[in-house]
Amino acid sequence: MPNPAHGYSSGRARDYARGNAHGYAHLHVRSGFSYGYGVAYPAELARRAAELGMDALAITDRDTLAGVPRLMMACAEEGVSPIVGAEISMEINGEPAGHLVLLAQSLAGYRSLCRLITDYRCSSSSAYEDRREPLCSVETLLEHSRELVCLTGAIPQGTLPHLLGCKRRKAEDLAGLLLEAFEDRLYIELTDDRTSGSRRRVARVAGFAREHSLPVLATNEVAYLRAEDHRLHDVVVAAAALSPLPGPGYRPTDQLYFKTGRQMSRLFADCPEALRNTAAVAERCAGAVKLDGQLHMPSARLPEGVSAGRRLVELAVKGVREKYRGTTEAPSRVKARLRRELSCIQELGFASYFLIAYEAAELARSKGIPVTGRGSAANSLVCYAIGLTQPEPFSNRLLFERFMHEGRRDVPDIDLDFCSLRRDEEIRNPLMDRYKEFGAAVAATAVTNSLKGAIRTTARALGYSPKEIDAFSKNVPARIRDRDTVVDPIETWQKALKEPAMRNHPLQDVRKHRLLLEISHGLNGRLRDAGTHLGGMVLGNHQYQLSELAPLEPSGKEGLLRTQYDKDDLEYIGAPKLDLLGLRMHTALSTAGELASERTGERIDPYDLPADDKDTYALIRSGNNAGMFQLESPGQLHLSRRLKPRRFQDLVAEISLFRPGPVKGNLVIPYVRRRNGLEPYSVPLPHILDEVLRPTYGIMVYQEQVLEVCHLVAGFSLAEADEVRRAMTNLRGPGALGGIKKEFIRRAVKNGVSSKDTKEIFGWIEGFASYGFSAAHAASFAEISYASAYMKAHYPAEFFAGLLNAQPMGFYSPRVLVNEARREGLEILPPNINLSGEGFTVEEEGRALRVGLKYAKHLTDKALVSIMETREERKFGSTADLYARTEIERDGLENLIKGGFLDSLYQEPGARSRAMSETQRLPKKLKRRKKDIGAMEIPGLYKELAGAADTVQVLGTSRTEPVEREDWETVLKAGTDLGEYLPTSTDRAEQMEWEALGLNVRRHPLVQYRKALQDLGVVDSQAVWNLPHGTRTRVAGLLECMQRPPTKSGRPVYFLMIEDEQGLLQTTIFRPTYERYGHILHQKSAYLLEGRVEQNDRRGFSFLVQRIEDLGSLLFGKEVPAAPAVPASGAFIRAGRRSRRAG
Amino acid sequence: MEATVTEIHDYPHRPAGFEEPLFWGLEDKREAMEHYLATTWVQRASEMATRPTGRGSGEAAHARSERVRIGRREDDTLVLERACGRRRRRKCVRRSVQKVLGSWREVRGWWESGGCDLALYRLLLSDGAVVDVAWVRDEKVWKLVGVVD
Repeated sequence: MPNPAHGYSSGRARDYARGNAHGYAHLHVRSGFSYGYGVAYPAELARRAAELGMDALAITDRDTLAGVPRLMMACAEEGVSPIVGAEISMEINGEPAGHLVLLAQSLAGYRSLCRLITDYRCSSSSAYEDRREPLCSVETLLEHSRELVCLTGAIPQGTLPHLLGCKRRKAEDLAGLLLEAFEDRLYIELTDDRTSGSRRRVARVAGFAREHSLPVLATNEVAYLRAEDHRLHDVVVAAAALSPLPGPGYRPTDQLYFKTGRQMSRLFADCPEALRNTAAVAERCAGAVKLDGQLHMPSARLPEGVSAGRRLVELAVKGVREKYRGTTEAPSRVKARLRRELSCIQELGFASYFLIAYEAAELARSKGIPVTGRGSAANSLVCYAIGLTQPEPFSNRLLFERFMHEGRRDVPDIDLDFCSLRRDEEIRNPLMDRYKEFGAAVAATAVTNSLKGAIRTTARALGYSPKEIDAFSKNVPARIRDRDTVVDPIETWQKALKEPAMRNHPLQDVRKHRLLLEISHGLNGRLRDAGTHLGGMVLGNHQYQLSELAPLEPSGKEGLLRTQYDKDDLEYIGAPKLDLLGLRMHTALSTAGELASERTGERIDPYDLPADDKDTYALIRSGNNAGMFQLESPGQLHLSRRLKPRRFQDLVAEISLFRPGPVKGNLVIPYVRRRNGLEPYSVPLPHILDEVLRPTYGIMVYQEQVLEVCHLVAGFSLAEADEVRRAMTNLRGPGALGGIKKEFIRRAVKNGVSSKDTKEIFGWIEGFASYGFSAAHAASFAEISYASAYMKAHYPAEFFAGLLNAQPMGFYSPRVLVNEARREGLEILPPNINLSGEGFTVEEEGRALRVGLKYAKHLTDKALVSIMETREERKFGSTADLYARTEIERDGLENLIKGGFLDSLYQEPGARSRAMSETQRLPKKLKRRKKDIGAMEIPGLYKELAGAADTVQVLGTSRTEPVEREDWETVLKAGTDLGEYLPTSTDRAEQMEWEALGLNVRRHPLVQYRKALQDLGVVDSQAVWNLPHGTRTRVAGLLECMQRPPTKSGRPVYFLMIEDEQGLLQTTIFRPTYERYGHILHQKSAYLLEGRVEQNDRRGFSFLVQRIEDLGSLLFGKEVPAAPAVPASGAFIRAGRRSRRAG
Repeated sequence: MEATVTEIHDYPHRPAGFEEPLFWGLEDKREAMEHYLATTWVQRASEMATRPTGRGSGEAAHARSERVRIGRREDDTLVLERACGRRRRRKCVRRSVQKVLGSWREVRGWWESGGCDLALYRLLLSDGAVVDVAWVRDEKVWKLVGVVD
């Protein structure tokens, strides 16, 4: 753009703008962590500051410090000094009054800021209860002013400019108060957003500063990186307020970008003093806060005079004595290891952390709540001894150094799994209450936009209707995550629109939706909102209350606070988190155990089962693993059949092998073949490595094996070996290991190993680095896998009831689990309003399952409880009886009828139609009076009710009134012709049950079409296994899920899991087939697949799909009851599950 | 009543008593303007005292959207060139820019079809007029969008 004021070309302007000769640093900068008020990542800001030659950079997010650790990490890389600050939303006399900016000039200032933010964000006395719009009172601000520099806020939205605009006297009062509290640390902030009249506003604020002899300071209220990003900012502001554009407080400007020092100098050329003050404040605050390098271990609650170390020693010694009494393990070996671990824990000062974890586990045990450990903590004998983890360390070759050693200065990580239903109320909350004095909160997460989320956000801001927004976001490729990384991300619309899923999608009209696509692309991957970590609990200590280490805020759950930092940030500031996780499998297993104990009269404890049960392993080998923890995914079903596990170590290996790394590294096939004796194997340097690698048939499967190999070959200590492992797995890539390799070779050669062997072994380790899995973690999971397999083998009805009552969980939908139960020989009993329990119940001596009430759609918890309670007094006699005596609403009642819960109340064939017809005429519950019901003219409605009782309860009260016989007589006289209610056909009834329950209660939906399918040449999912190699055939089934795991070659391969009445079948789809027919997979959910059977010694059975058709259209448009395909995390797509509660 | 085309064309444009135009030429206009400027009861909008609320002062007295050109003379001064008059009387008026009084941005309503993306400048011209000109980014043209005084 030509500039009449200066007249130089834009190229020259850019050159002129480079450099930062005036020492300017941005002191008022919002990043994406302002969630709705900023766009850029701290790393982007730091990089830009470095590019522009700025020595310092502040981050001042709105009411949060969430971006501070990230900024510090980024600044360390870029060589820029970070300045810690925040924008504080103020209130004056209960009214929102703009914001102030506070900057920490020392670590004490940072702690003041943390306390201040915690104070006003968590204050229950705040007039504004909305946690997303917290407001700070002047009194609270003044209380926490220590070591903070105060800027009066940007023009026009800052507190002082805001007051100057309308209440000058108040502005003067406020300035007086601030001056008293902050003294020479108070600055009048001047910002020019270059909107119409901005110079006048700046002049007014500058004039005020002059009048009151206050120093001025120039900033730019940065909210985005580049001028063109203002559109993203406007959308983010509108989205945060859930409003269409323009969002609240909209300013028609694009000037809130990261300006160069020269641009700022020009903007405030008439006020050089402001620029000088900016540089002075930047110098004062830059690098004043350093958060890393110190560990803030939480303080455990201990008896008077007992140290944490001593207490841990007592517990560990006691535990070891109990666990190793009568075992073959050499006591000296146990004792030495215990001593080594305890001394390391003591030296690092982690004892209190172990004790808090122990306290959580004990709390669970005291309440009968199952608890297990997971992760690398299982490498520790101390953890095993005090009952935090279950796998025995010696027999499983678990190494303490993989978990902890003196060389590691990072925070320890103990993860505990509890029954998910009882974790919050019975474990986490009481534990947090106990540690209230030190401060207790959970970790935050930073939620980012996916392409799908971005299109929804943008479309809403641009004013599209909810229906249009749904249409835009449907079938947009979802992110596939593997832990913290996104696998093969689709980041551009150009790529996304080429995906088969988006064929015939409305967004294909690129010209029409140009703006929508541009903005959503810009928002993709940007920060969207703060979330709450699933289980990371953080505690303060004697030295610092938690709110001095990290600011706290309400999490959105009643009474639960969360830190503003996520797990990585907490690790950076040295605050360890204790993961108290909820595991639904624990819920399912404990339910199954209770049901089995109840039925058999013996105590069945799923966590204390006979080891090496043959039936259990036989079941796993059969591949009928649906519902088994960690063994139920399609890949694991297949692997179980091939690997043929017979002992616990096989389960540990199976869990470790089916991970993206080993699959990508092609470890699975050689392992399976060696395990089954189909392939000979050898171990390099057998005299050294045989003991380490023989258990895994010469293949390095576990990270612990890396440590042992380094230790034995190169003579590294286990701690040094762990550093090698960490260097390899920290995403530094195979090329970044030059130094380590040299040292490894030098020491190995010194150890007497030939140079050739050494290089070969190091290459082997290096190749393994990216996909190793911790044996401790796998062994912890394998314990639960074994328990679930055992329960399925011996108590199938109770096991399925447990799974179905703990939904949502696991890999399969409740529909498939019910069909699996039926295939296992269990009878599925129809729902019955007088017999069904809250969830699935076991009947007929463990041979049958009955559908539970909570599977009925629209049945509220209140209605469910009232049904359960009311029928204790007297069974329900009719629809009206149920409606009259319980808290059920009409839509819930209709779904109970559709689901078949009331079929048993009517003996005639048209029962369901009749009940539906009666329901249509029932009064709304707002007039819940007996007379309203009695006044209705429903032929035959009160026959049962009148026969059932002489009194009727008046709803909403415990009062009952006598049935007015005369009314019933009148109704009965009107009579009814039962013949007018036509019987419901089986097809229709099944469809209704599917709609109301999301289950196939009577039979699998494909049973009725089997004849037609046979005519189409379709074989069932079990028969196809027995077809010879190369056979071309057809299979048909309903979608359960489709995955796209990483492959060795990097070419995408899709694994589609379908289900027919005979079982589950995994099929393989290569990219060309997917590109041609993929849209059918996304748009339909019942398919006919044509392809070729592969029977291969190495890979076993597979069905390669070559053609896909919609099954409904082949069955002459018949609607097959099936859930629609939806994108899902962990799976590419899967059958949609109906609701959170019922799965 | 019937009339020929010639009669219609001959019919006076202004009724009797109003035959004379308000200004005969530019000089007459200037004379009138100088008279007004000399009075004590007329103020330039830009000279109006700022009220505490900031409202009602310094706003454009007259707003329009007229395409103009901004060029540069040999002596490096900027010139604003605008067309005035209609049809045969149309001519180009050039005024040199004495001073850039201010600049600002307006990116209003970019999500709508009628949105704008303007870089605005307030210019003091050689004839004493204070005008707002805008660089319209989408169209890549200069427009006169306001006459302040």
